[in-house]
Amino acid sequence: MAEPALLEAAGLRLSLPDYSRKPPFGAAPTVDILHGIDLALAPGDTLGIVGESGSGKTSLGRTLVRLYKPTAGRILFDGQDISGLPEDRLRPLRARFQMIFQDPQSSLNPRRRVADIVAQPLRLHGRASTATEARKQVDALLERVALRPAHGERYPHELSGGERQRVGIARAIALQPSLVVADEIVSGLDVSSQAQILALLRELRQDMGLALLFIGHDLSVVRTVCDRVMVMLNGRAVEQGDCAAIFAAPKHPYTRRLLNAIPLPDVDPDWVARTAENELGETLTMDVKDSVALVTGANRGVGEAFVQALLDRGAAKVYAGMRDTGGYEAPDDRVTAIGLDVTDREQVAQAAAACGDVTLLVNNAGVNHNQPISADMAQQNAREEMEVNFFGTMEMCRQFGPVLGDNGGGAIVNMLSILARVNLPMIGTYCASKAATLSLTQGVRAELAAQGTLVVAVMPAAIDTRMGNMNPPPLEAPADVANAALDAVEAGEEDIYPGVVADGVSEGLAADPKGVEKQFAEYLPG
Amino acid sequence: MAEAAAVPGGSLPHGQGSALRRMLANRRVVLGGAVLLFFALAAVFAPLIAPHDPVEQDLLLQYAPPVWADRAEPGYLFGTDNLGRDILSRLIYGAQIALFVAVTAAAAAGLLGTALGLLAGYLGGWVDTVISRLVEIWMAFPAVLLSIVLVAVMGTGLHSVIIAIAAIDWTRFCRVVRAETMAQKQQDYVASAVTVGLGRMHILWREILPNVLPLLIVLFTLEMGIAVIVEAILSYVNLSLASDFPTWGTMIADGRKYVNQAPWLMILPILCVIALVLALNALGDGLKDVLDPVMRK
Amino acid sequence: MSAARIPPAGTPGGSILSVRNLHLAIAGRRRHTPILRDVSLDIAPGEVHGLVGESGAGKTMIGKVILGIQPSRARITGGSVLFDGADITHLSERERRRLMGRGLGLIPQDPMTSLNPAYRIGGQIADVLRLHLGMNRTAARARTLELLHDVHIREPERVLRQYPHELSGGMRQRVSIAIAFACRPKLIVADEPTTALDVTVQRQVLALIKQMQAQEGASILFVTHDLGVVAKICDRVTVLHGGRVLEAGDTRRIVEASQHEYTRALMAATPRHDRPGDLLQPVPETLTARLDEEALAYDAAYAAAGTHDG
Repeated sequence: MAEPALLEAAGLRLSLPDYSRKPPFGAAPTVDILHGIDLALAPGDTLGIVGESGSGKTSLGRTLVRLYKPTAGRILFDGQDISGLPEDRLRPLRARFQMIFQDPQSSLNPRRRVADIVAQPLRLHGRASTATEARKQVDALLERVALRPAHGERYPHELSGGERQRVGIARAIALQPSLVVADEIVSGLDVSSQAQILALLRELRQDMGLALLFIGHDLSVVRTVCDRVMVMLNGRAVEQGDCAAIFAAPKHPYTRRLLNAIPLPDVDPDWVARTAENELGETLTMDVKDSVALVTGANRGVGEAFVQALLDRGAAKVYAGMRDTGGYEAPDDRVTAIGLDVTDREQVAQAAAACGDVTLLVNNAGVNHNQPISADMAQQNAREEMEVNFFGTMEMCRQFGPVLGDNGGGAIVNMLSILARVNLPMIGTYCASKAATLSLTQGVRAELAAQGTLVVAVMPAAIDTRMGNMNPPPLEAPADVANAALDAVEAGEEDIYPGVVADGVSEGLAADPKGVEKQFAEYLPG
Repeated sequence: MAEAAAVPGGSLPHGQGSALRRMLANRRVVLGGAVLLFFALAAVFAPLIAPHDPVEQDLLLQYAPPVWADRAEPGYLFGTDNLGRDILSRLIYGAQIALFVAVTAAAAAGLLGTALGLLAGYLGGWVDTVISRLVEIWMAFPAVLLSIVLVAVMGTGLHSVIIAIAAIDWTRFCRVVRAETMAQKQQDYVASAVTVGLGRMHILWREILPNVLPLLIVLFTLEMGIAVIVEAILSYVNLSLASDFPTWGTMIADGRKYVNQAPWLMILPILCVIALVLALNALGDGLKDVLDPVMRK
Repeated sequence: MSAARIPPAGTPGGSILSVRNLHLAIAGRRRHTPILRDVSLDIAPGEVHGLVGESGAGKTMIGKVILGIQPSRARITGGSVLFDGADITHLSERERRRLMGRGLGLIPQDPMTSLNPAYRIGGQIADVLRLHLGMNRTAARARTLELLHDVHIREPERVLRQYPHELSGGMRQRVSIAIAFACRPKLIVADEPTTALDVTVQRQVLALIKQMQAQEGASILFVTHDLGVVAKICDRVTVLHGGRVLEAGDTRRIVEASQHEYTRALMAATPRHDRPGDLLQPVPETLTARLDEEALAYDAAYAAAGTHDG
């Protein structure tokens, strides 16, 4: 940025106490509202902050004008760090950044006349020493926002919604600030008063050289007001940049969903029907090309095939995760080997911190003891299989979920098995761990849907790996399974059954689950 | 929704000025206020309007019945008591005491409770925790028992009665004011006062308090009614003023002994208590209706 | 495409709902304040009819009159509301109850206020079914599950046992849609049903309303201030201002080639993210002032005529 920023926030975090869960004694537990927000606003610039309810946009606005104190991160106003400034040192600065509130009904003191409300900042900051002088300035301000001096004699409840919001604007500009934060200031208004208020805002901005932070839920409104926009979801900024670029080609799936959800006033009878086909909005898809992938268990079997398939499809970078990197030969210089034991929570957390650019996570690592439930070691086998197959996958999803969210949604591929859907008695503990992981996959899918992460469950039959397998033949080629999984990522399919055997079993399960269960129960491996 | 025919900009301002008009349109406010005014005038001008000295005895004129009964004594509108004292004069002076206690006790309770309630509601945190717990513990004591104990410890007398009532009933103000302050604090006018650069205490006293005031007026009126009753109870059990001083409670207590010979000795002060308390309650309820919409609408 | 199955306007015979010259005023101490002025509209079977206007246009009041829930001070000073050919403006309470549910349904703006917070969702839907359709407990429960399934609630059994406050705004609106359609009514009044929702949820709820409407074949009076929503979901539109119908017609004609200056002004004042270059044009004050004047002139004429007509 060539121009020095008027307002700059870096790594802004906010946690607020949740009084609804406060115990009778002791402090209320806190809820994280903002998870590290970065933004910069040059003098005279406009930035729109868009998000739905619960996105944290209002809290962000209130933190920036220091109605809340951030838990971490910095807020620089005109080069000065105001994030930790005590109220008495903040007070002289407050004249320079003002806020207009969403609900003018509540933001204007009902017991004061309009003139007193507008005069208050003037008197407080010594801009008007006498009452007559204040009144003169108030009348000028009221005129500035297209109100008559007579409006000054009224109480807020005697004004219309649009007039009240004009009073809110008059108060905010009274001290001639260089920054105004406008929080949903037109959301309660009719389109005609909305258009008037927006026109007024534009005029004031041009005349006074105001920098404007415009918070709103309506992308259309934000588009007409702002040059740049930041889209928020669950306390994170998922996309930020020039309005022109983002509205023309939104990168993050959530931005696309938001844009597609706006009913523009063009006649389109099929518009709603397009939604009905897919309840959650548009299908999530992702290009493997240029993606940054992380594959666990990458040194052998299907993992190795995944690395190769990713490289073939033009992945920008592949992290090859394995327990022991010793002796691993990377097939390409795009591949970075990392030591990663998915059962070690610390290692997983470190990997998530180190590989912050991952957009595609392939949870491939797994173990199979190939032992029946009647085996002596069944307890221990079951624990180990759960440890790697279930808890390992869970921890990976847990740690990388936010990483993927920060990088625009991305995708997770969980390598399961058709045995997640039906149990083969001779390896019952393995089947149970895969079934649990399938259920987990559904849970992860639901949790991450809002941030636009696609979660794919891959359920092949037996695969021809060097690890040996007791599944029924024929065996699938690892490369086919890996490619089928990446196809699913690109097409946005959520559950896939690569190969004829898996496909057949899944159809059988749909038609006659009991019959399939019986068939499998009778199958005794070679 | 229903303002189709409203001419733009034509609505008349109806602020503070019309609050009075709306009060006068409320039947309960007018009725309660009239009765209260009646008692207040009687109390203020007691020396002028009381036909007799309230403590002057005339043992030749014991148990004179009120005017509407047979054998009524001229000049003694409501008759005399066992010591021949004029009931009407005693009732008038009794109103003086009842209202004095009501106003001062309610004011004392209101000041203490409001101050603590405002601080607890606005500052929150440990201040709120301490004050709220104190209120809860306080309210766990039976009120009447506590007041009797307090007066017993401090000694009888009017000031003890007032202190006892204030000491018990400040919690009522505290709880309501705390809740209202917390609600007001959530309003954005408080946030905007912060962004303008007003200090915390300024916001509390100059921005929030005026918005809590209507509620306080209502509470104060209702509290006066309670104080009248408590004072009557305390003087009934002889913990208020010395018994020769005419309070309604003492009159009821004295009258009880002669209820068979002279029922009016007891009935008339009871009627006074009832009338005053009903008037105060009606006034409080009426004011609530009148003042609330200004706040909320 | 959808216009084909809708009979042309102005055929009250084929209408499920026909509002004829409706006048309504709020009774005041000194005078009546007119709210609706000569409102007429027709809704054909299976039609989604948009009622558009800004606040104060009287659009919500029309919905209330149809449902018989107008405020007690509101006086119908003229005209009629024909539902299925019969006037429903002066029904007894008993007749009105019979009409509600089976004939008429409501999708409210804020489901939180229309769902009883003290009862579980399942009970509230079942009550409607038992009251209006006389279903027994088992049948009502089965139908409730079916309805919840129809409105795409993923775990109907669980939602059945929940209280309104435990659901999100979108879920609550789904439940109120289920209740509105529960007794297969012929007409549903949807009063700004998506105004309180986030856009992504709004889109889902709109899709749901449309889908249920197609499935059950009901007509909908869709009250809204949002021309975008109208353009996407309505077959025909009536534009209101100051309690008067300014124009009515096929959605495409109103949205793309409106005859009335006010509708065009509303369109110009609506922001759209795909046309950033266009400056928003506020509705000219001269226009609204003229419309207000027209309304007052109409009142005077109506009052004068009333003395003759009786």
